[in-house]
Amino acid sequence: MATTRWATLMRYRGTKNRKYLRFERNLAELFGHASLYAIHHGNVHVIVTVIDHGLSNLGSLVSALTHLGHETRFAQSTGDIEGARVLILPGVGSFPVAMEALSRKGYGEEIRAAATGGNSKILGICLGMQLLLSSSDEGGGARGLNLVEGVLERFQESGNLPIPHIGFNGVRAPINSELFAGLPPESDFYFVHSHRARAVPPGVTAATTVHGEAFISAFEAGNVYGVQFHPEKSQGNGLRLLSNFLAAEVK
Amino acid sequence: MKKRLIFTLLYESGHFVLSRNFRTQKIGNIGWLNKNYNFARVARYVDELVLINVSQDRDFDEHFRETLSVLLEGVFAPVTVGGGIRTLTDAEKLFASGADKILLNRAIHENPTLIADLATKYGQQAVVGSLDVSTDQETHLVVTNKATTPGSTVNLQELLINGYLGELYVNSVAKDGTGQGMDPGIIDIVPSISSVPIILAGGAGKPTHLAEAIVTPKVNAVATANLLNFVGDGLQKAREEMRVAGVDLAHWI
Repeated sequence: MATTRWATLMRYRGTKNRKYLRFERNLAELFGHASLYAIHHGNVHVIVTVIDHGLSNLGSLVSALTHLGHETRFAQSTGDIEGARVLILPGVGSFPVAMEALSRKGYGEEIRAAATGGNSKILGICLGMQLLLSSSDEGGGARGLNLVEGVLERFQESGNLPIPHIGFNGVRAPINSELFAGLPPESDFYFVHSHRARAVPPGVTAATTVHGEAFISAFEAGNVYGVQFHPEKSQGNGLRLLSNFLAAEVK
Repeated sequence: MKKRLIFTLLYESGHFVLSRNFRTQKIGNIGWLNKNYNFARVARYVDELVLINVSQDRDFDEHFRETLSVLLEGVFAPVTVGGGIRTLTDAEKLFASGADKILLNRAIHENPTLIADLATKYGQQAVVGSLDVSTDQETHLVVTNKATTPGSTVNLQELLINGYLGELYVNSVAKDGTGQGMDPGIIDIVPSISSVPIILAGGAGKPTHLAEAIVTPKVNAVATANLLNFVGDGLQKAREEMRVAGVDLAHWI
């Protein structure tokens, strides 16, 4: 295995080559069947541009993308975003601080242009998803990138409802969802957040999760995708969702 | 919210160890772990991982972080890391090595300011308080410094009121490493004002012990550090047993 090059192995994809089949068995044994999805769908070596605004632990995201056979580049300048076909906007921390960091680097306008230009697609993860929406009441309030209409508010304190919302919780996705293709109608993902969107405009495909009340846990609007949870921390479900995003056609 | 099954790995001076009533026994290093068990596969059956550096000698901190990076390759689950965190810089280095959350024990008693600072910088959800609970008759007492020193819950109350802790990891000193079953009674030590999730640890020797303890209403998660009993297919079996018992656990493909 160690001496067989990736490119050589990939030539045998879909055949009954013994070395290749052993490789698939090893992969499935190690990481679950979700890991085979990317290979079967031929989206090997997608170059993913990750927009790092300096506040995120990106190790596991990069590790997941590498594991699925893709290449990660970090945006170092506005030009890197302009030229990128596949963008991921991750993020943890505070909404106003992250928006300020994006504006300071001039990334905000570039992300908007890339997401609406018809040549790229973007996935926002956790705070990254929130930044794609219109505004948040966090830290005194701030405007977002407004690629999809939606307002973020802190979870309402009520009874014993834990805030932040931390841990695995079910996500109910509509049948026409691209992100959740191949997953059960309700599948579990790992969440860490205190603010949530309760509504997106009609026409936007939205998945929901219940924590006290139902909120928007994922959305898909053209080339703009957002997930409130962390796919890179959600075992096989997360790997499948990332694969689905990378396989989705740019519209 | 789903209930959680957590695997805890204890590291001491270059090796993974078993702990019994806080006395440790060397089991093997990362080479041993990877040679005998496929760790990424083991990790697929737990909701989260906890890694604790129990080395007395701080010279091993760097090796611990290197071990962490290697161990977490191919692990796509949340990771909590603890042990030897005295400063913000110590925590920063662990976050950079793959930690999503930081576990603090002695700091609750000796340096609550550090916990406040960590929560302010990384958010409450990134800070887990660890309590070692000693039991005499029916009385529970928080102890610290590897169970050698009695502690109080005054600082803990304050930290919880201020929202500086996102979770509590509660370990039974008496049950630790015995494999005789868990003691959910020790969570009485958690101040009643707290609504943060509670992880119960100590005493699980077989899957049934975990399945029995997780149904306790206030217990959100159960953890085992029993390396030899669970690193094979023990966690997979524990997960299946809990599911059969109707415990609401996450499911993934």
